[in-house]
Amino acid sequence: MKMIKLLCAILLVSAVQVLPQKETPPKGSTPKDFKLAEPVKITLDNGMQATLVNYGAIPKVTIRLTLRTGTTNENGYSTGIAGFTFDLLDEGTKTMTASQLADNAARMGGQVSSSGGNELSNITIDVLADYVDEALKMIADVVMNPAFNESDIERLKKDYIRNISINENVPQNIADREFRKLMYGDHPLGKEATQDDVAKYTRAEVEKFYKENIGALRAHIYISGNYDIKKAGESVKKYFNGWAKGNPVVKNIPKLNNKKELVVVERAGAPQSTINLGCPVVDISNPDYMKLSLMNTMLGGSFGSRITSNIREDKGYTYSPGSSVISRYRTAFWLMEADVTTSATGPSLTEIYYEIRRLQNENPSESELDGIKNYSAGIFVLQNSTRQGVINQLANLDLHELPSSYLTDYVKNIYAVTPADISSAAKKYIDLKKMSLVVVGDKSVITEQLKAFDTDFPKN
Amino acid sequence: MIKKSFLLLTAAIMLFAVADMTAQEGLKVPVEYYKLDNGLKVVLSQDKSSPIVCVAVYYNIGFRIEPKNRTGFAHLFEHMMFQGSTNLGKMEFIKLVQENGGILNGSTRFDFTNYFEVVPAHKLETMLWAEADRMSGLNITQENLTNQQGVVINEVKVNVLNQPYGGFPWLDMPQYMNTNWYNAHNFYGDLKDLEAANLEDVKSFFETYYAPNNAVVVVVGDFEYADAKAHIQKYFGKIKASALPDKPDISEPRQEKEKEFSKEDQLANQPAIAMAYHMPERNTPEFYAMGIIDQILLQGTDSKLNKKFVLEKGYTDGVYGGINLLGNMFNYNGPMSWMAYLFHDKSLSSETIKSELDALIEELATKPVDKETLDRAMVKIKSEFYDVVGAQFGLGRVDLLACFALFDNKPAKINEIISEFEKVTPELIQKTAKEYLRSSNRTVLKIEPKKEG
Repeated sequence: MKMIKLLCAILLVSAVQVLPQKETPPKGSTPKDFKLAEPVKITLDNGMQATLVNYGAIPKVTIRLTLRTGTTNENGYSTGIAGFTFDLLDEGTKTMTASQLADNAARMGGQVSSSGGNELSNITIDVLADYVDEALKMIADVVMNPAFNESDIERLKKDYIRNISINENVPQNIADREFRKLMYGDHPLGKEATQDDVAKYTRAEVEKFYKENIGALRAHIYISGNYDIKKAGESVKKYFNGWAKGNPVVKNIPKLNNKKELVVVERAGAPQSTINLGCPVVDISNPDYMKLSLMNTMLGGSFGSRITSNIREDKGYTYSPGSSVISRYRTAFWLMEADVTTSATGPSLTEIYYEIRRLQNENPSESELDGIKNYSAGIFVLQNSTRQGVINQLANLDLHELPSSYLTDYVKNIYAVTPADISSAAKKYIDLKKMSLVVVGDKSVITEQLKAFDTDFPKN
Repeated sequence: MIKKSFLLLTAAIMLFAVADMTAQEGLKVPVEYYKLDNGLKVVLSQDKSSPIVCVAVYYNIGFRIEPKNRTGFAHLFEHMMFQGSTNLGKMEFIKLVQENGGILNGSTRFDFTNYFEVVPAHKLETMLWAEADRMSGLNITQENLTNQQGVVINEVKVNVLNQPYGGFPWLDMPQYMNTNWYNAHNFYGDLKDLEAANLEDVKSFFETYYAPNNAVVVVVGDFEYADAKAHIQKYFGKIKASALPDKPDISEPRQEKEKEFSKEDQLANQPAIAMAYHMPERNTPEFYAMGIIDQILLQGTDSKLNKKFVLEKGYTDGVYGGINLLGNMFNYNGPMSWMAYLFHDKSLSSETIKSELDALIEELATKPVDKETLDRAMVKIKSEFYDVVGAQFGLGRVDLLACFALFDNKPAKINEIISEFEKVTPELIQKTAKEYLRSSNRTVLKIEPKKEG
C-alpha cells in the first residue's frame, strides 16, 4: 500500500498531464447490522453440556458432539491411540454394524464421522432438519455403546499402516511432524504414530483409552441449523442422561521449546524446499492476542500480506506462502509455511526475516492497518455465516474458557488496535533469536544457503 | 486423514446451495436473468440469511480450449487478471477486496474461468466496479508476467512435481482416457510452454475471450435487485462486445476398447488405481441416471463401493471420485468422466479390484435397484443440494447459476435439477450402467510405486 502511494505521488508530480485520470473505487453503501445468533445452554445431570443455536434458512442441521480429550491425553498409551479410538467409534455399535450406521445416516441425508483431535475430538453428523431426534439417538449410541470388534480393529490398523506409508513422502507432512517435535518435545502433541506403533494397538488398549477419556463430564454437544431448539433439548436429555460421568478433564498443558533450532530433512532432487518457521507466542486467552493476531494477518496471514507480496507477488519464489497462529489450550505458536523454489530457499528466508524486522522496527501506516482491521472484521462475519462456523466459534470459546463477550466485543477489539501495538507485538513475540526452522529439501543445494540461519538471515 | 492436496482441490468446488422454501417443493431459488446490450449475461439471486454478498464473473473459456503451443495458458492467464487493470495496479485488486472485509479467488476449470469475491453486503457496488474494471481492460507489464510465470511454475511444483501421487488422477486421467487434444492435453501446462508465454499471448487471449458477450455476472446474497441492476448497467454496460471465434470440435468418439496404463511415481510408496468411464452427454436422461449411480456406487459411507472395498474387504480406507473431479456434474460443458480411485496395498492386484467393481456394475446393469437404495440416493442428492444452494457464502449457488447461464442459457434450471433426478427409473439405471459402465468404455490408470527401498 505504501509503495503504491509512493508511486502515485511520483506520478502526480512528473506525469499528471500525460496519464489518464484513474477512477477510484466506489465506497459502497452503509454497513448492515450483523448479529450473532443467541445460543441456548443446557447442563445435564451427569455434567454433559449442550449448546443449541438456530442458524440459516435451509432445512438442515449440524450436530457435533465434542469430547475434551485427544492426543494430549496419550501419556502412558501408544502414540496415536486417541485418534484410533475415535476412528473406531463410527465402525459400529453393540446393535448396529458400520454398514447399518451408514445406511441409517444416509437415509437422514448425512453421514456420521468420528475423529480424534489434539485436545478436542468430534463426532459429527449433518442431517435434514426432520431427523434431529433420530440423529441424536444415533450419536448417543455411537459414543456410549461402541462395538470395538476385533475384525474392525485389525482392518483399521491395516488402513493406518498403509496411510502412514502413503503420507511418508508428502513434504508438508514431514515438515509439520518435525516442527511439532521441535515445539512440543516429548509431550504427546509432539509425536506421530509410526507403522510399528500402530501394529501394537490392541482392543484392550482401545477400551482402556475409551473408559478413561470418553464420558459425559468431557462432553459438549452443539446443534446448529434450522430446527426446534426446545424439542432438540429434550431429545438431548432423553438420549444422554443415562451416560456415565467418566473422568473429569485432564488438560496436560505442554511446555513449548523456546530455543533457536534448525532441522534440515533431506529430499534429494526436490524442486522445492518446504519451510516451516516459527516460535512460541501467547495464546488466545492473553490480552495481547488480538494485537498478535492482526500483526500476523499483516505480516503473512492474508493474500495481501507483506510476506506474500514480497516472496510471491514480487519475487515469484512460491505459490501459496502463509503464516498463522496455532492456538491450543494455554499454549500457542506462530508458524510461517512456504514451499519455495529450491534455489531460492535462502533468499526466501532472507525476505521473510526482512519483513519481520521491518514490522518490528517501523510502525505500519494507519491506512495499512485499517485495511487489515476491515479484513479481519469481514472474516469474522464470514466465520459466523455457516452452520459449522457458528459451532466452531462457540466450541472455541468453551475450549479456551473465554467469556461470551469475547465474541460480542470481537469487532470492537479489532478496531482498538494501533500501529504501535502491531510493531510492539512483532517485537515482543516474533523473537528471531528463538526461531525454530524446519526445511525439507535437497541438501546438496540448500545447506550452503541455510548457513545464514546462524546470523538470522541478514539482508545485504 | 490423508491426501490433503487432492481433497482440497475437489472439496472447494463440490458445493451445492437453496433459499426460499415452499412447504411442498422443498426449495425454490429466486432467479432473475437478463442480458445487457453488449451481450453480458446477468443472474441475480437474493439470500438474506447473512449480511454478505457473493459477486462472481464467469468467463466462457476454460483450459480445454487454449493455444496448442501454450499448454497451461488459460490458467496462467487467470493469474494475470490479478496483475493490473484499467484503474487498479498490481496487488490493488486483492487489497481492495481485503480492505473491504472480503475474500476472493479465481479458478480455471474445463470450460470456464471464474473470479469471485465474498464481501459485506454494503460493498456490492465496489466489487461490481472492480470486476467491470478488469473486464474493460488489463494493464500487464513484462515484469508482472515473468513474476506470475514463476508463481505458476511453483504451483505446479507444489501440487504435482514435489508430491507423491501428484496430479493423480485429476490431471493425469484426462490425458490418458481422451483422444481429442482439447480434452487430452496437460491443463496445468508443460513448464517450457509456461516459460514461453509472452505479452502478445496475454493480449490476444484477453481480446479473444474476455469479452462481455462471453461472460456472466452473478450476484447472490443480501442485496436489492434494483440497486444491483443499476450498478451492473453503469459499470459493465459501457464495455464493448467482441467477435467470438467459433468453438472448436471438442467431442470424443465412443470408446470401444478398454485402455490400461501404468505410471511410475518415484515418490509413491503404495500403488493406486483410478478407473474412469466416459459420461453420457450432459442433460440427457442417462446423464441424470449417472448422477444417481454415482450416489449408489461411490458417494458416502453407505455406497456400494465403500461397503465392499472398505468395510467388507478392507482393500483401502476409502474410495474417492465421482463426476468431474474438479467440480461437480453440472459445472462443465463437454466430454467428462465418472471415475473411482483408491490407494491400496502392493499385495492386492488391480485385476481383483477391477473384477470386484465389475461385479457391482453387473448387478446394477442386470437387476433393478431396490427402492430403499434408490430412496437413499435421492435423499443424499437433496441434502447436498440444500447446502449447495443455501450455504457456503452463496458460492455453490453462484456456481450453478453461472454454469446454467453460460452453458444452457437458463439459470432457472437450478430449480429443475431435483425433479430431473426424480424422473430416473430403475430401468433407466440398468440401461445406463450397461452402456456407460461397460469395461470397453473404461480407462484404467495405475500408479506404480518406486521400486523397493
